[in-house]
Amino acid sequence: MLQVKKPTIALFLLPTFLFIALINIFPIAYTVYISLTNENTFNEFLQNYHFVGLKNFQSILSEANTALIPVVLLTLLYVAICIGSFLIIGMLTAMILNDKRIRGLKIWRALIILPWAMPSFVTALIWKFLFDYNFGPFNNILRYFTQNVNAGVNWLGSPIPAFIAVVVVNLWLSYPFFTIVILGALQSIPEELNDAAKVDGASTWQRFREVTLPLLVPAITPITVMSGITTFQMFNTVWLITAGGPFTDITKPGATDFVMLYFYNYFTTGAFTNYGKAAATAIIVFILLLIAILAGFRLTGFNREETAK
Amino acid sequence: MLSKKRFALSMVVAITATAMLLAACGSSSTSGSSGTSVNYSGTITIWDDWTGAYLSAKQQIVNNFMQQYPNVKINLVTVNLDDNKLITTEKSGVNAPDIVAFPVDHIGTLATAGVIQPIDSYESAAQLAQTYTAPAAAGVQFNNHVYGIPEVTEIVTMFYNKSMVSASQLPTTTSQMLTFEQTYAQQHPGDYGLVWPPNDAYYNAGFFYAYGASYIDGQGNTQIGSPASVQAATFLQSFNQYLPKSLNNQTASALFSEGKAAATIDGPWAYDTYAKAIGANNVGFAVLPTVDSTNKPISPFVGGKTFMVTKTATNVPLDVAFMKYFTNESNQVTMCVATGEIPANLAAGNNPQITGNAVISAFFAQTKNGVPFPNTPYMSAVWTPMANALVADFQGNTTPAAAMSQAQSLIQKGVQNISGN
Repeated sequence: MLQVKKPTIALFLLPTFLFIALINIFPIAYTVYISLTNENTFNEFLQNYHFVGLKNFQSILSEANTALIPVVLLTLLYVAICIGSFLIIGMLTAMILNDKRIRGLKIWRALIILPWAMPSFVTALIWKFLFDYNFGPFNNILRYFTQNVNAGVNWLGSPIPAFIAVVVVNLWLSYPFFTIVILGALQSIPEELNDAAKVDGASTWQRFREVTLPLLVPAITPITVMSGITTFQMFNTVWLITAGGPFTDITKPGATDFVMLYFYNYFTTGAFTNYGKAAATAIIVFILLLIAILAGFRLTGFNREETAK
Repeated sequence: MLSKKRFALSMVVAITATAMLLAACGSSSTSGSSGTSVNYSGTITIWDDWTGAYLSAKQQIVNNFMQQYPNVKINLVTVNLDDNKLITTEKSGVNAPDIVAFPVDHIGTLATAGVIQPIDSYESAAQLAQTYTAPAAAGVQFNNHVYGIPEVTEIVTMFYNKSMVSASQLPTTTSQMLTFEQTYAQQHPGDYGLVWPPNDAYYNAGFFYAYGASYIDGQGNTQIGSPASVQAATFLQSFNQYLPKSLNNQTASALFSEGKAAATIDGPWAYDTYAKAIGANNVGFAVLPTVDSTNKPISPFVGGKTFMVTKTATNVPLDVAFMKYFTNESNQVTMCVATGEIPANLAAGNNPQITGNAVISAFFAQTKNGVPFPNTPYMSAVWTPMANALVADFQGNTTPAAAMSQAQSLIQKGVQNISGN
């Protein structure tokens, strides 16, 4: 056995530690420091900023009741609807693709990954066009069938259709991931189990409910949690399509003003140059995301020592 | 700690250097109407974002200057112009520029941040007013100090497609504008009359100023909630029945390029795209209409690029002399003919070479109706609320009065954020 002294170990770890300190710890500590000052674009060079205590946090949280809480609730609703539809569509497509009677399975499986493999901003812009009131195909199809040139849903201009639109786009972008993971899990279920249940007289639904689903849970739970967290943090796709709007009252959050969009909008409204407030905002967003992630860990049992196989 | 020490050290060096320079200037300065003599030697570093054809036209002026004054060396550094980048660089003092060519609306932020210095002693407001167009001269003044020399200006004006309408059919008043929109769409189903981004605070500023409402002033006061502003918003909302609901920068530009809109409102940067799309012979220009109720022409923002002298500049008299040389009549004429930019120099704008250029002269003519682009740092509190208010207004999701009063309260909150806690 090779004996290594502790100082030697420390010496070898030092470069990595310094690196982490420089890249991670210092900026985090600096952000906390800035958040307690009134530093901004105008006093940075002149260096006449000073400590203001928790004033930045107070001013952000003072709007909690009118803005922050509704925004978090709206985001949670969005996450719930999105994840629910990912699961249903992902499950259905996976079961179809798992059916050996279907021809050209390999082609279908490759095709279904396409939306997920496309850069999300391209997809978002294409959908934005599809939903367009005047020129978008959805409304044009509607006009064709109703034979009414004035027909059409103002998808991106009215609150509820806009919310539906961003759910649909996120669904399009994310369900293939669910399909692939669920398909993988389905293929690992031995056919004998299903056959045995069949012999016992279980109906199709019973076999799904009692045999397939329980075996899928270990695969579904982590992707659900991961997807939930990314949906909670959703920014670019929704930003490109609605930018948080439509607004019926611009002093209040818009119909698709999810957490990240709300803070971005909040930020660009004059707070852009206010580093202190920006840092405080970053810390609040960090805490919100930390809560979401910890809740996710709890659900998956990620941080439990005795993780089941 | 370390950075503070280093900063202090660099300040000491800078101050000593400045003091020595001033002493040198003082002893040698004997004549000169402006009271300062220029020491034509040393290196000038300029930050700009010029590339391609722009760069070569500007490099030519720089080369001529260096030829005239062989002891002067000028480095053009192409950077992404960003306030924070300049602040950080000035703070560190490493590779800091002497002159920056920023958009004019950055003056307030950079001056308040202390990274650019006033140049009143080398170029007075009166001199500016004689040499440059009125909005350009006003645009470089902040808190009663001159902070820059205008290089080129930018403004939006009306483009029209000569194959779709004739100049005489174009609206000259706001009421005609609405009728034009209505009748053109009726006569040409599927096409549009005049399109512009109704959701953009920059493109629509001209309407608000012509109705008598200003976005923001130097003290952070806004008139967005005023009756005049509500009138402008009401006028803009009345177009929503004739225009596509999703109209924005891209759709407006696409409609005009594809010959589906007879006219649009856009700036000099868009000319090449339109000339290529509908043919240069088909692109016509018209000055934006006049508001009936106030009898004032639609007054868009006059922005553009401005030369500013940084805090760490070593030879300010030379820097200003270069900036004035760069923007003199003959240099402006040659440069603008080559780049298609709009001269800030008054005499250059009236030079036959420019008046003979249909594109540049159209924008130069529109500049006469323009207002200076607000250069106050408070302007950054206006963009987002105004854009959201304009969308809500145009979509008809709120009344014009509600949209404007909501924007007003958001802007006031933003101004508070900027002015400190």
